[in-house]
Amino acid sequence: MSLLKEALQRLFRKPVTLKYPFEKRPVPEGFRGRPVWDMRKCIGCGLCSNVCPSGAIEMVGKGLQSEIKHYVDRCMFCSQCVESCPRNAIKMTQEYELAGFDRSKMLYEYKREI
Amino acid sequence: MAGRRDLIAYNDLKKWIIDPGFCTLCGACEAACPIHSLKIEGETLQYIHDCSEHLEFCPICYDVCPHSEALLLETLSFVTDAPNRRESLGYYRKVLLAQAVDPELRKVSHGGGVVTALLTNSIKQGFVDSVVASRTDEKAPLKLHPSISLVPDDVFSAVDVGYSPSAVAKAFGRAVQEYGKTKIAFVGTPCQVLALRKLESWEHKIVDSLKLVVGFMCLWCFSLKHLFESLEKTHNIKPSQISKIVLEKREYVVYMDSETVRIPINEVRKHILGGCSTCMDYTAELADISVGGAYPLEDWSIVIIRTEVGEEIFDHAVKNGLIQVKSLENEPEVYTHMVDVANFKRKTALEEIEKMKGSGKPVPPITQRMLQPLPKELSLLSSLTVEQIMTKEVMTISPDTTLEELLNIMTKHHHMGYPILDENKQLIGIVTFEDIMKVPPDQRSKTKASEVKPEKLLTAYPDEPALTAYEKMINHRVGRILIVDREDPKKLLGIITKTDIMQTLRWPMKRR
Repeated sequence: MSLLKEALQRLFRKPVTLKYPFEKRPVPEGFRGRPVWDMRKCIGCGLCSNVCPSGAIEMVGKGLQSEIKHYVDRCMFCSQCVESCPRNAIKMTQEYELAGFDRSKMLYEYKREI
Repeated sequence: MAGRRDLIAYNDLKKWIIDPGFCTLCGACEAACPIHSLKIEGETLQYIHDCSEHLEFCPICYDVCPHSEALLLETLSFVTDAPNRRESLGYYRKVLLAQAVDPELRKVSHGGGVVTALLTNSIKQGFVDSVVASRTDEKAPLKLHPSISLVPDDVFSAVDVGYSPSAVAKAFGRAVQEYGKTKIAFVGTPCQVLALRKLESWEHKIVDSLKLVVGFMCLWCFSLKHLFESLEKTHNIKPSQISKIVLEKREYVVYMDSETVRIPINEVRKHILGGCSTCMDYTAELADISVGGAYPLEDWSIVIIRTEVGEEIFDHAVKNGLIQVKSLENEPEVYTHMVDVANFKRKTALEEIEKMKGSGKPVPPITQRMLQPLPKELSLLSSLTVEQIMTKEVMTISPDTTLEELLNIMTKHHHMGYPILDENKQLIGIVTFEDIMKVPPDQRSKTKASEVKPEKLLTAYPDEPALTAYEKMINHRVGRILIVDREDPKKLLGIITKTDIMQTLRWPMKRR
């Protein structure tokens, strides 16, 4: 009986599902999406690449001449790099639609403006 | 000064700060080090593991060290929005005398108990959620330990003025990383305040949680081990007998259970820490609020409010009836004593630097940096004229002003030097605080300003480059130079003080 009642009630309500990808639910606060680097703040200490458990971050060059390569296909969004950065140069964004067919396109490079 | 920096900052830190013995054990490097390579244990700074194994490049520990030359001008920006600046006080909004309303509080703390009352109120009202300060042990009343207080009652025992090093900056790091606090009030000496401000201008992650910085006025810190040994030898005082040491009129008064002993400053000076002997900051010029003893008033404190945050929190404590204030203007003696000690600290530091330079010993990089501007700053000064940076509204006095009146003027307006003009507006000379101090206190009401003015008058012309005026000041070791008309050298046009120069270096474009 309760099942029938529930079904009847549902008839007059909006559906709980969203028509993704046409409709998107806003991400919750503290969501860990793709990390981005602010190279104006980065001092090039290399801690993020050292602590990354999945080896998704590569630092090319040394110190203030260095650049960051982030292989998002390896990233597991654990936010460890954000934790260890001494200067808040890394932020987790709310970007989560990162799937694709070509792994070579999943590389994000961060260079310094000279 | 480390001209060219090493890729690993610890190498610089060791070479320029630790090995020459300038470290004052604040622990800022320990708090800032991203891989916890440094640790303060007892009275030494330990390098636990080789950081170059984990990092390719890292400037942090040297940058945040209060004795390094890095970020010095940047740290100034935290206080430079204050409306007033004077050589004796730094940048400030208000100077006043204050005390805790609760007499019990005044009894348990030094001076007026202002800091304790202020912080207790801040925690209760939720402005801050914890206080990082120093506290003493009951067994050893002079040895300070860093402490983190989370509840208002705990602050009672925590805030203490002392003369021994304490790793408060390290404790600040712990409060953020281990206690997870987000609104922290920090209490420390001028060098510890500088360390925190350096962390802040470096944009280190942990200072996101810094809410309020309270600075104590501090003459020097002692290496307690050496101080106790010498006290025992010369005065037969056992460390266990000492209940507190207070600075009064260039003498340290050692309070013991039954008696007190007065010791002149110079006798114990050799036991101060290496970094303190060349330190020139007495009033914690970068703190939100600076607090110090108001000798000869027993249970009042001098409070210098420098920033907006400081003003807001202090005013709230006053409004809540925890702190009562009175004006400093009617207490020239208090002000004179404070400025006298500040000048004494600056003077002894400069003498010490001369001595170190003479004997070829290294000078702390920060002092070097303060005394010797960078090439680009010198070229900036040479590109500006004296007229562009001078202060045009100068407070002057008449030759008949007595020194006592002059001290009252100083207490009111906080300028340290006043040009003397005669009735025809002709420049006669300048009287500074130092000149007054040479006259014994009982003579000051009889002596006139024109009698103590120095023979030689240092002047510059408005069309000269600012660099020339600056060099004149450095060469003659004075804090201010008068600007006079080239045609008529008796006509006063303006004044340049050291703070004008600092202001110019910080914000060359900003007109005052």
